[in-house]
Amino acid sequence: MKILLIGNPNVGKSAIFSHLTGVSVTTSNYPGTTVQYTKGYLTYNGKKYEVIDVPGTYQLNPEAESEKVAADMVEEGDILVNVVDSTNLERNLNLTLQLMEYEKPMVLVLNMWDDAKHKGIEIDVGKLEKLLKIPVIATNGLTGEGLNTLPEKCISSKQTKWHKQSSAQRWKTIGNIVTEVQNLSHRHHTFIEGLQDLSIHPFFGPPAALGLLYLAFKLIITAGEFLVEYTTRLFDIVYTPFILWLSSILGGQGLIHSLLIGDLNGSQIDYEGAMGVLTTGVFVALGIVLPYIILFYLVFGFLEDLGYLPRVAIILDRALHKIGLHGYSVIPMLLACGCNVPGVLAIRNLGTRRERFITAIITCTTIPCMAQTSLIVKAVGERGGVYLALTFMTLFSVWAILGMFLKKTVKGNTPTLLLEVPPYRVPNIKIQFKKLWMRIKCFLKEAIPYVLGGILIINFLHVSGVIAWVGKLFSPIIKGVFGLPEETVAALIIGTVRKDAAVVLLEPIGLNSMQMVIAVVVLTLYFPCVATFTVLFKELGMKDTAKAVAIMLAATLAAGGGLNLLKNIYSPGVIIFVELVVIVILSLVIPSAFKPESKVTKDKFYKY
Amino acid sequence: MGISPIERSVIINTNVGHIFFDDELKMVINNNRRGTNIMQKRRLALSAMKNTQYGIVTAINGGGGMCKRLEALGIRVGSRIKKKSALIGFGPVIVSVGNTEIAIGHGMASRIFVEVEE
Repeated sequence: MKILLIGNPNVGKSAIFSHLTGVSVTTSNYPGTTVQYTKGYLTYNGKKYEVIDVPGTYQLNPEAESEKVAADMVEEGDILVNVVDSTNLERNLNLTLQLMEYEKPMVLVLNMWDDAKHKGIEIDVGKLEKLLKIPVIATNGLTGEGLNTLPEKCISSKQTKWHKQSSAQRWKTIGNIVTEVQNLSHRHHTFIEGLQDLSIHPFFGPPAALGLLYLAFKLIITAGEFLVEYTTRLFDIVYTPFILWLSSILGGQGLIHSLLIGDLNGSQIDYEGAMGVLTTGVFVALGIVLPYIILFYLVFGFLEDLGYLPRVAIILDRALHKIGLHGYSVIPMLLACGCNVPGVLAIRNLGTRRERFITAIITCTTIPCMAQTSLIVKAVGERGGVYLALTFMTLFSVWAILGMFLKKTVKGNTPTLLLEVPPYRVPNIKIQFKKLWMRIKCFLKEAIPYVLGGILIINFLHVSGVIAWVGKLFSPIIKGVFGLPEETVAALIIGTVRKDAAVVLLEPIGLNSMQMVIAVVVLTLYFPCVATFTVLFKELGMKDTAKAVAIMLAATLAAGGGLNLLKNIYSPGVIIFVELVVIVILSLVIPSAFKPESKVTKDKFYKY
Repeated sequence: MGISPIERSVIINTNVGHIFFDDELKMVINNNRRGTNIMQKRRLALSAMKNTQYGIVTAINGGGGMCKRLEALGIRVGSRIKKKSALIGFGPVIVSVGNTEIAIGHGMASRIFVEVEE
């Protein structure tokens, strides 16, 4: 037996799913959190039922890929659980009535009951049950209130007859139902609603959003640097004696010693330079990357649950039109700042192939994940703030220029933004920590094997001389175009496995500051890590992935080569300025997203 | 499609008091050529409405896909909406319908017509 949880986006299906099955899934406060369906099992009265969390959909006439999944799944389900946002009964009932036409056993869950009460909305559950002839329950998905009767109601629900209606008739029926069961009482504007209006204010909204995002990243980076200092000390106290003991057991030399521990420097271990699996590998993953990951998801999780992301999408809509996208693309991009894999997965929420293609490419090419960012901050940051600024400014220029180029070349159209803006909700601390733990666990499971494996591979390649050989092979590009020493090739090889491990490999080479910036930029752009590449391949298919790779390599050559040329002429500060000027000029030259005939300007008013 | 000056003046003179946007004017003429006059009441494009104004949607000039997407979110001919905000520089328009807030890109908002409550 299959139980389907189905409903509009952002009504809390995933929270109910977690409660029913005990499987943890990501919940947050923006439409489109769930892009793939998730399966779980519910055991009730000794019987096992399959529960499926279907991505949210407004209608059963699919256009976005995530909505198509929903429409196909309804056919297969045995019992439908329609989750409804009680604060938006009228709109949600549209889907409910469409589902009723399937004439399958169905339960209606009025979720967010608390919110509705706060907003002065009263719904007569008994009357609704009578009108729809299906069981109706009122719940609060986040706390789990009212959910204990759901399994029983699911199983006991029976098929009901419902006649097919046209959409106009359906809205009429909905109107009748709503007037009968819903009772609104007046209430005053709350503080949170004031904030809500302020964040989309025509004038205050944009600066507030940019300020907030800047503050968020500043906070992550500053606090990260502070934490890494402590983890370094902790490693020295706790971990160093163990490594020294292991080293003495292994005899201080030999192949296994250099693979596991690397070059020891007396009793003080240089964790970043030692290059052993147990020294550098473990330290990079746990000592440097982990603190940043924790901080990032702490901040990001808060903004996500508060409901700020859709507002960022609205504010950046106009700017993103310049690169052929609309505001919603900002959500995959922000997710990619944590890890590119969920970022690429989230492109499914975008409507057209063109949007998906452009977003996927610029996301995987120019956005470094948090693990990589943390090491960039460490490796480049210690050379001076201006170099760090140059690195990120260069990545941003590639983002903008590549986007404008793709907008002009990729066929298809970009639909206008149409997005439900969820109300702000105060994040629940318990859920916040659960989500954070889930993400950290995922990082530990995914990242550590790759980091350790990557360092192991590079050690083998070093010993066998492959690196020297490949370095010679690519020397014209690496030396000639980028102006980097041949040894950098080791980092570029590992970069295809894991980018954070690759940045570490740059440190012992002895690059000067400008070379470091070029190396880091090249490393970010040239190819995604293997995990991202796999998802990219799955989402885009063979042909588009090949195009994507070609574009990435071209962008790398242009950006790396360009920086190498500019470094001889200008100082880093001036290069930043040059890049900024180029972006501004290009964005003015390349016409805006709207076709000329629909451009509305003040002097074009026709007034009687 | 070119608009002849005569066509323009006819349309403007038969809809006194209405502020025309370039695209809206073209749409009206297009409809007139097809023989349907949609400008029977005083209407404004959603993008031209003032913030905090209420109104009732009277026409949506778009394909079936766009109408369906809007309808699913509760914006259809006859629904009462309030314009909450419009970001500067042709940014998205934010309206509230019932208890939901919906952001609509500027292009789409200029094709939704509203009878404004004064």
